[in-house]
Amino acid sequence: MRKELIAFLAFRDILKDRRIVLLVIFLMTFSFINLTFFPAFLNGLSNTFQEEVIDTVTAHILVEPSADSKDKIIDHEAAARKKIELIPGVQGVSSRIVMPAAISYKGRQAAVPLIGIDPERERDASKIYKRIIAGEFLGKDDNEFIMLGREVAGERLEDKIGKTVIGKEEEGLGGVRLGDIVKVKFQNGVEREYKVKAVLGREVFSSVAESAFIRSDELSSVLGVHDKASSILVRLEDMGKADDVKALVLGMGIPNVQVKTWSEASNFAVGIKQTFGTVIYITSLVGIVVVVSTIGIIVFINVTRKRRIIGVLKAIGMHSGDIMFLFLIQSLFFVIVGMILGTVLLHVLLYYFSQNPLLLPLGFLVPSIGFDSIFWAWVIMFVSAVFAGYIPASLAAREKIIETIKVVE
Amino acid sequence: MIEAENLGKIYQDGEIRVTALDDISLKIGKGEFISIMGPSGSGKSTLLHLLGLLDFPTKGSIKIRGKDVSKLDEKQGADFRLKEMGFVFQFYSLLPELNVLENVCLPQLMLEGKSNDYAAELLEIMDLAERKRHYPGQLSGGEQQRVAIARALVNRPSILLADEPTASLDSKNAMNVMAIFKRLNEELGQTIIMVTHEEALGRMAQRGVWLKDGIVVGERRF
Repeated sequence: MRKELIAFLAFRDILKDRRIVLLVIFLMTFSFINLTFFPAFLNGLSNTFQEEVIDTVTAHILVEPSADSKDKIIDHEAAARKKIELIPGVQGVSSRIVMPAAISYKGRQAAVPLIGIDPERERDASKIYKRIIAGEFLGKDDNEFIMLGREVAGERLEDKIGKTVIGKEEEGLGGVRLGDIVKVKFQNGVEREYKVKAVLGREVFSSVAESAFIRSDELSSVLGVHDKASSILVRLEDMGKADDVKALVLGMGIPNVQVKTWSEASNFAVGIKQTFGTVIYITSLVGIVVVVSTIGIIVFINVTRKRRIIGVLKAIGMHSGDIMFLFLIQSLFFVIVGMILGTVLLHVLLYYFSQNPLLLPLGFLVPSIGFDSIFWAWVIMFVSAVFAGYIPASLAAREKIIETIKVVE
Repeated sequence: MIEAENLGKIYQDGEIRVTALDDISLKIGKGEFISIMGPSGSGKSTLLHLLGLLDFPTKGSIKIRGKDVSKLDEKQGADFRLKEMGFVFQFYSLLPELNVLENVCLPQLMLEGKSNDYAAELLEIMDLAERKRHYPGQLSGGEQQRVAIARALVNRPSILLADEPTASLDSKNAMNVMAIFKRLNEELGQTIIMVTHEEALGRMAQRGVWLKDGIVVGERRF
């Protein structure tokens, strides 16, 4: 009952000034949002990066020539690919040949990574077919066709009017259109003409925008190679099993290759994630300081204002521990209400942005946060409140009765 | 009922030692109404604080009903005060967020975990029954002090200690409070120890003790 009485006194005191209560709860709610929504925002941003890299560059598993491989090429790619296709959970496997090439059009030239793909397999292993801005994806017999990345193709000034412009008009080939013929000069000196079948990219950042694509059998024939690949992309039904599948691929004994999961292969995306992690860590520290300061100041002011009442309560028989509990309850009340409202507001914001993703130059951003991060935000807020409330509360509890009852208010 | 023997209190402030009380011995019988008087700095409030276990003596002992209470630790002291003592301070010292009845019931709730009709009875005695749902801010100084007296009595303490209970009141309200004390003492046999610097009010007790410079300089029955 004694604890119930203390709780009763604490709540009566809290409710005495509702404007202050609303202000503190508002601050706590936004402190929680600061601890969760900002990380969710950055998490969404790194997801956008990561998904783009997975969808267009690495898939979930990337098989590449080993670092000590002499000609940086995978031999017997067909056999390797077929073996990998047999692994349960593999959704698609596609081999690529990549080499630098120079593409020219109406006197302009662009140096690009030229990527040879098997269009049918690529549809299962990557999502570059979803990056088509204009035209159609390469087909079965499209050996005389090429797909250009948006920045390679460039844009004509008249095409840009009224559109979002990414890059400058003088970039790339200056505005290649579907059906135009471009000349490709390969690394071995061979030159061939190709008709443009598609332009790839997005309104926002995409790694395919700076590349060009032709069929891999076409590229092999130009290079005079057979059954070789620069990389093999493996897409899984469940990306969470990447480590398991990587181990199985490694166990197949494919010679002179290294096998990487998407996180190992996309250093850039992982680096961004780690950078954001540091940013989140720093902003979380700021958030914690805000929580501790707000709670600490509120309880401290309350303790200072109530010095004489604290003395009177102790004089009539209240224990020091009860006094401390009284002020701790107040700080916990503020933080718990702030956490609850913050969690509700967070979910409202997450739902809103899932329905209305933010369009940034880097891509569409959907803020995302896992339950573990929300849980830790709860723990951080709770511990901060206990810590922030404890110091002034213990000061109040330790006050000498005769010092406090003399205070004139 | 209360036996203080060779009671002393020295305050140490850095290098400076201040002797607030020196070797005071005092006996207060059950049902007695005693006033402690003297000029400012004479040690009268210090003596009341020691007798009320709000502070610890530097030397000497205090026995209440034969029990040496000067050795009680902070928690034991708090429990003893809650059961055996009631306090009235100079400033009204009510909790502003609680209404009159809740303020009076507070020690009862602390002691027993529940309240009974005695709080309401006391408010009747204090002529505050109509004001029991009011908050301290809605009461006059005299009314607030009467609420504080009711709160001090709600656990039926064996000793009521009052530290300058009329100092913040006008003369009419001061006399009103003194009349209540007298009535409590005479009709209920309440033991009362009151500190006051107003001799006229002090003389309304049964016995007066005068202090000066921390020692007893006079004692008289009225």
